Amino acid sequence: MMPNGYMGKVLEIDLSTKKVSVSDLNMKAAEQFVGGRGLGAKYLWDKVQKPGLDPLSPENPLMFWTGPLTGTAIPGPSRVVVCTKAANTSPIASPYPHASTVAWSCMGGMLAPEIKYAGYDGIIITGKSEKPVYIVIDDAKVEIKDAAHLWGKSTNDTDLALRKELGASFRTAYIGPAGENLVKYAAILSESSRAAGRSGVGCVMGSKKLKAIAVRGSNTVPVANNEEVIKIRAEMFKALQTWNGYDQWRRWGTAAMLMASSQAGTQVTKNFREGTYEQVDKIGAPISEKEFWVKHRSCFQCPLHCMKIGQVSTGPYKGTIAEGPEYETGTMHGSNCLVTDLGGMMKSIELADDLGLDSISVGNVLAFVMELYEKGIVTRGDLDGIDAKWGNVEAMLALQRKIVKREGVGDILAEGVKKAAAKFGKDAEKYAIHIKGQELAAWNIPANHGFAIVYGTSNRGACHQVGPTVEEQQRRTMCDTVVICRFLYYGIGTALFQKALNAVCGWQLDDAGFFRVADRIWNLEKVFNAREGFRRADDYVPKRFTTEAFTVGPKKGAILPPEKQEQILDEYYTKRGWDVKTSLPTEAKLKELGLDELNAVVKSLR
Amino acid sequence: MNENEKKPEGQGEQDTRYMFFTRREFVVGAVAGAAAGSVITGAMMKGGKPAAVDPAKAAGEKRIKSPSYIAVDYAKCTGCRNCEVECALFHEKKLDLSKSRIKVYYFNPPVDVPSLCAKCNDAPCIKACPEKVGALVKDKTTGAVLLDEKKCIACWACIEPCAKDRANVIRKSKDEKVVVGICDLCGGDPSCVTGCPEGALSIVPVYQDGRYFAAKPEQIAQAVAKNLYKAARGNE
Repeated sequence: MMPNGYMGKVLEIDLSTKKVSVSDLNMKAAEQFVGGRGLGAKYLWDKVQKPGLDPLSPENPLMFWTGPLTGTAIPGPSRVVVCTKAANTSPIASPYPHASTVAWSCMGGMLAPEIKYAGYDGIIITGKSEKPVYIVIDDAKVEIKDAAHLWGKSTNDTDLALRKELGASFRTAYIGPAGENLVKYAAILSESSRAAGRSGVGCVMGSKKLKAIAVRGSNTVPVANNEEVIKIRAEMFKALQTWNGYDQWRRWGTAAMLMASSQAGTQVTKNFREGTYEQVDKIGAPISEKEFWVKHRSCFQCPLHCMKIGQVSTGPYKGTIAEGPEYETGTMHGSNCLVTDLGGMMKSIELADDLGLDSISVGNVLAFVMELYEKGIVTRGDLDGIDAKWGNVEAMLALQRKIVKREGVGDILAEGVKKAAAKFGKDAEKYAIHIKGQELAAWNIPANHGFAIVYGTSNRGACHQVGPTVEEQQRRTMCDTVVICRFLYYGIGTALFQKALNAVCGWQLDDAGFFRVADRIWNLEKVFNAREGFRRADDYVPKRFTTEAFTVGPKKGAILPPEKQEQILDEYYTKRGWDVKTSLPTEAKLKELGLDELNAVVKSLR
Repeated sequence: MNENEKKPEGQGEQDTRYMFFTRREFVVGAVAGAAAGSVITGAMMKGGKPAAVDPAKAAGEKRIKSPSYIAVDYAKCTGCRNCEVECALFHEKKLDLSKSRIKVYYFNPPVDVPSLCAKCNDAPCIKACPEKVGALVKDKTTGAVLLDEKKCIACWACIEPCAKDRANVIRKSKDEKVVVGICDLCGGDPSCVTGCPEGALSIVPVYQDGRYFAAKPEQIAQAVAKNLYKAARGNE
């Protein structure tokens, strides 16, 4: 019998031996870690037994996880969570040359429910193919196919080619040339430029010579209390419609935050030097709506349709069809590079998607190059003749193409700002805005110190998603675990989703139980990272934020004082029940969470 | 020809039939369609309260009192598939999308096409159903085609004319015991229409000369894409 909320099966594919097998979902793990990011962390821990595994080795599992709500009548759980050992992170000090963090990367759309309808809670891909392949999953029928004709294709061309081969009924995910050429911040994309962008998951997929997966399913997800689920579904829609953010989300998506964040001094501008972009009206939501947007798109069952699709109708980039701007992409390719041309910015975003790059990381890399160029740390000669002046869209396009081909300076930049800075030398390190090797995203720190915790303590390196307090981190961990889109969760609230989880799974999790799951996941990830060599020193924000105050905007003068950085980390570790000096979880904490077996590991690290 | 080279179902000979969508006619068609609620233009972005979704709404009220069909505003559709979900919940009382009578297809460049039974006046599916079987009948009030699952002998005769000449919505059920995909208009208050958060679906009296009437999703997608992404068309 299938357990409620779960298909009870995991599809395992070894690309070295081409062996396809189906295993029973570890239900004990499912009860402890629920789904998505949680099961990802648990399975990663079980599969990667020793520290220092090369993330690009065949042994590193690339996993696509769903949650128990996924594929039910509950709106929101439409995200697939890609989990693996990260290709783009590294600690300050470690005995292991390939040390890196856990990685999880979420992508909305239609793939996650389709995986469950095909009969699986997750797909685990290990090994490495000799030749490029893609995987077609049609319910129980699984084929590993030759992908010679797809290899080298951009993500959009791959989408078109798969559509032609398989028809419109398959849901697909694929990498672009960035993943093929092992750019460390390569993404995995799906229909209409949805992306599991962060954590370099596309790089791991590329290392396995896996170009794409396509999934189609015809099953249903068993639920414990069907009537209750349908009732909760209606309550959720009602909650959304009465939510004061509903109209704003629907109309603007995250792009609304471009102008708001600039006012609040939290926008990333000029490689994180400033928190306000004086030209933000040239790239913000109102002008995008007026000149660019054509239509909205939704993930499965979501009425918020925060995705905007647009087209450039005038200028040199006329004809470009692109997704965005979102807050993240508009900031990283707009204000962070001082771009004032909306069409050019959209071209840069479109190119990043088409090449299969994480548009956040690459926007950070581009601004880093522009600042080094301005400061004279790199010259036009170092950049193979590219004039990387602030705001020069053509330079941004040329650099991205070089990165993806790993050609000339692109080969250095393809490693991310941390490693590129080491290569460039001089003062370059001062301008490399990363934590644990992952580039920071589009929220700035000096005017909102909570982001020092968000970025600093995230278990996948700098990530803007994880929450500024322990409580909020627990909630958001559950979002990525149950799985719930965080935007819907804002409108619907934790209580209803908890109710939904219980109705779907037949559980009786209360508040405390719900958050204990989150705490357990976070601590397991933390121990994984600690075993690799990550400690307190790896949780600090780049020096720019504690040494250079903003010089413009409403938050002029804002800075994160160094003593405040120490203080908030102290407070955070204490709240977590971790040792303040090392940041390692205490014995009591792990015991409390039922993670006793980790204590031996942590003990050896003290 | 190996398996990879085979043309996928429904994506074969679309172009010739589609030639009647010349640009001029398209615009005319779009305007004519607008009157019937079947708008193709991209002017639907700006604000405006969407139709309220109330999935719990009882289907007591029969809104359809004369032969009607469900028109789609393709510019408003965001591809959320709540229509599929509501259809399955109404008919199956659980989320079994394999039985949904409406399906939303996604095309590249980004276009979302809800595809459903058109309630054709001449109903070639009814004609194809063997006389002594009589599993399909026309509902005189709503104009919907009603399937009596108990009478259906799974001969699949109704599938072909729909696939060949119409929207291609009729298919075999997963267990291959009956056909699925024929829309009964939920007896008069279609759940997909009430469940669409975008107001992209509406009930209109039968009006069968629209450009998109009973067209296949890929044909509609091509026309809608052409209209939405004008800049990409170059110097046409």
